[in-house]
Amino acid sequence: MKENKEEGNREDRIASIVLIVFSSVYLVYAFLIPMPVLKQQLGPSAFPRAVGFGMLILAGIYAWQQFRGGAKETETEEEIERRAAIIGAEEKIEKAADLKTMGFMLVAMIFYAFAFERLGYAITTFVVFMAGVLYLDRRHVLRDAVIALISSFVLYYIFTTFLRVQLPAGPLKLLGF
Amino acid sequence: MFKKSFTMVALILLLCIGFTASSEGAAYPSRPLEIVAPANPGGGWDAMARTINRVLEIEKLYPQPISVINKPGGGGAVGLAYIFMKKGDDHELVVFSPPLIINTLNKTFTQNYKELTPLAKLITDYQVFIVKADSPYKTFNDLLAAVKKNPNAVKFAGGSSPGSMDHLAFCKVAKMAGINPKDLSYVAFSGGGEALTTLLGGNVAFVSSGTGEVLTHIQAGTVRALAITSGVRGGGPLKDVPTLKELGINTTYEVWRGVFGAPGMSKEAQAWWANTIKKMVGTKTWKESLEKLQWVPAYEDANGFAKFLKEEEKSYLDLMTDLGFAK
Amino acid sequence: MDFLGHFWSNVALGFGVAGTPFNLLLCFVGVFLGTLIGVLPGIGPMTGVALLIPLTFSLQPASAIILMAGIYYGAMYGGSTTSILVNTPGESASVVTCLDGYQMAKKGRAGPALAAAAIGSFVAGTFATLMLMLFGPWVAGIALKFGPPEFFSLMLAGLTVVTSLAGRSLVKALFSTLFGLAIATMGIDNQSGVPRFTFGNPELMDGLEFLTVAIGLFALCEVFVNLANMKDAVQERLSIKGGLWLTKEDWKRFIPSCIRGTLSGFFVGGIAGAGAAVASFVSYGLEKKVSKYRDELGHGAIEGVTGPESANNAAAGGSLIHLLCLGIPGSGTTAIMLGALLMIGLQPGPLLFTQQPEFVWGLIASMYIGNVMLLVLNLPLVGMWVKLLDVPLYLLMLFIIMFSFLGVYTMNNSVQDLFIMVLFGVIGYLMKRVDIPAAPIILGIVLGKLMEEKMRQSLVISDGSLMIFITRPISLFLLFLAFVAITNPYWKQIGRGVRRLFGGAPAA
Repeated sequence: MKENKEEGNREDRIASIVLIVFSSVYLVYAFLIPMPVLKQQLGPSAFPRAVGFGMLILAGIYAWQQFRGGAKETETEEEIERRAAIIGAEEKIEKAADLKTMGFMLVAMIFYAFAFERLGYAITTFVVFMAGVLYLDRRHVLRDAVIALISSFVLYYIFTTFLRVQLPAGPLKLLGF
Repeated sequence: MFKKSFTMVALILLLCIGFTASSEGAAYPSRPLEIVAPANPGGGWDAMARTINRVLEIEKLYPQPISVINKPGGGGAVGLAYIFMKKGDDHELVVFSPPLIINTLNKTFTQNYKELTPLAKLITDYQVFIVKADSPYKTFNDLLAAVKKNPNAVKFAGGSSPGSMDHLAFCKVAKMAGINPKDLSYVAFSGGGEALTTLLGGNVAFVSSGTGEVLTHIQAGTVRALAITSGVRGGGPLKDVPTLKELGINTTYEVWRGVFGAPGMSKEAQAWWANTIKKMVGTKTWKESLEKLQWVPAYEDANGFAKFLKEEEKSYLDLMTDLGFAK
Repeated sequence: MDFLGHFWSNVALGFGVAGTPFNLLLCFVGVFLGTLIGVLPGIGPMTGVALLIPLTFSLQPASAIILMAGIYYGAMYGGSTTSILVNTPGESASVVTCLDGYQMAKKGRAGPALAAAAIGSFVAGTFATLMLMLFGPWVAGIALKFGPPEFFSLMLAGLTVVTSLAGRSLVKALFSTLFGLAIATMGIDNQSGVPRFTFGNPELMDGLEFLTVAIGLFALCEVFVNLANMKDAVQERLSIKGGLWLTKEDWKRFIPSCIRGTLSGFFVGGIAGAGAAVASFVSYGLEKKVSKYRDELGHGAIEGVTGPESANNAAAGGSLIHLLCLGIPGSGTTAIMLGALLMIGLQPGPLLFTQQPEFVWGLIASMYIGNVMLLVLNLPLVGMWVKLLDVPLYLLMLFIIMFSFLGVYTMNNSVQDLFIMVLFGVIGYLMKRVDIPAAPIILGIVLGKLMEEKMRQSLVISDGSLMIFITRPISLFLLFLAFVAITNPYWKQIGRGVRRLFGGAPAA
């Protein structure tokens, strides 16, 4: 449990530095916004600059809290817990993640995006779906293959024919779909 | 199991290749047509594309399936980039209007629109300058006099950012009337509807807008149109609105819409479309659609359109250089 | 008396038009398709209505608008379904519903959540229609009072909702909000035409699509969270526990939150015209401030579903008032409907009520009928939807991935959006690891663009004077509300401090 806490703090520290870097980069770009042709009361860069400074200050406070040995919040524990009532706050992930599974699916998603127009919706969806099935659980492959077929080819047909929503056809286009 | 699914994919791919081979060599048009609307549904470009689609379909002028694809973003930049990727594809059309030239001159577009294949100018719309019904400005000359006296005090609004049509239309008029368009105070809204709300709420003095969006308000008398940018007076509720020429300002401002083919369209396809579009604009379906949408027919064939575009570019270049928008 | 008689004859006229078998059928087809469209992510009400435009050419104007309106509010109903079941918002106004809806589903209470959303939508939709019928032109008059300064103050008041989304650390939540505002600054600046943070990429010129970010942050993030401990849980299911229907206790909590959601949604979305998404956020913030059960919000409280869902439907109904009475579209979808009406040859606006009474009253009547149909259609569907949760977790994850890709792609036909969505999925997961809440990002995006735009428009109108925000009564009132919302958690402390200052006994 204690280890987990230390781990959490380390992640928080890394995060705070990432946020400082991000805010700084944003701020630099905010200053690089070109001036408009016509003079204005508030130009296009005023708002981004304010947002950038705000982010930088908050990221700074965050980092300070983390490197000063944890947050010294002025509120009571109870008040903090009450505010903690947001989505997922109670399920903050403490466990070490299954990076292999996540990595595989991330690659699958990137492939999905990459091939979406090139191979068309139906083929890509089928491939990604089946890849997911085969990686995660192959106990019901036949059933899952049928589901994959429905959510790729059948869905494609419904979308393009009945709903008239254009989905990329890919090589299927040549089949006259 | 794993094998099974892969065999299937392989089979499908094989089939595709087989069909490619057989579909080559047919006479134009041999494949489905795609019309690119470089904006989201709901706007003028989308309506144009869908009207063309509909008329071609109903009149059976295109023997293959037709679809409209929306490629919104960057005032047409995404759609333009898309059609440039289809270079040499004879089965791709795109609809555009003045922003094609404006956004080329202000360098929002990175491609040169002149590579597109102009097929025809189809319709046109005009700008009107409107005030609220209880406005102190009774005539356009009242308004111009007030603007001349203190350009900053007479705020005007439009549904697009500075340097685009709503703004430029009045700048052009102001310039002709001897007012430095740089002194004008323009409030940009995201959409003509917002600009109109602001006018009706009494927050700005007048609005520059396309006629279509405000027709009903002119008819109802909630707003008063002081001038229209067409050469001759419009019909219906617009028949009492004076043209700029009548008011002694010798200029017009046209919001045209036309259709282009992808860059590098073959001569054969161009000839086919020249013929087909001519047929299309003569049909009853086309005329009825235009009437419903209150679009003014303005058909010009490919040559006339190309010449027109050249003139438009020159006129915009002059105006935008003055204002500093042309880069 | 004469007014009343006139009124009733109009109502009778309306039901006469809407009640013909053909129009009833169209109404049903509309709400059915709308529900379907709402459930399929990405095809929001906007695309749905646009797709049907060609169909409406051959119809009578009244029939055409009945069909389109059916799709419009059908989609508003359906949008919440995927939010609740799989944490994937079907359209922008249903993003907030994810917060508590999905938590309820995780606890096996998807049934009551879906039912509450449906009933809340019904009540709000009916209320908005009633308002349109009784006070339409009057409401439209108030709407015109909302100029840029009022809008800015409204957005500022809306921003205070962040305190109710904050989580354990206010610093993190505020950063998250600013991150959202930063995302909102991407794209061509409408006030000057200058590109900002577009890096020369044409697809970034309109900024990031709000739903793309939301689906990444909620749906794909959920996939990653589940995958992270997938090996133990592949065959797990989120099956239903307990009944499908609201319990007595649920009803007791449902009613007040439904009333609050309807009223606040109608004000923010309907009168002010700020849109359904903003309305749903404001309603959530309101629940967090005034509900008796505010501490449960975020952990699957029924108020978190009822409030926003009522609010977004009240807002949707309200924006029809803008369309019909002013002829000004109050949202993207109504803009498309306006376009469609023009194509049919109708001019919405001030004259519509007198020139085309059978059209207007037919539409109003069909909205009542459609709302009833939706309720009748949706309540039995609850049983069917929750069965979806019976599939093993790994299949559910694959479905979420597929739905997300399909939905995000169909919005703009853009592959780049898919990559952006995946990127935000990863960002969402990383944020979750360090406990930075994602909801404020969405709030920032929703409010950011409007807030900046309205502020700058106000300043052009006032020649740079900030006084414009406090010399206009509605704006001043909204700023006051914002002030109260920010300071009210500290009132006790301030009170204590003041008492101490004056030598009173320190509070216990």
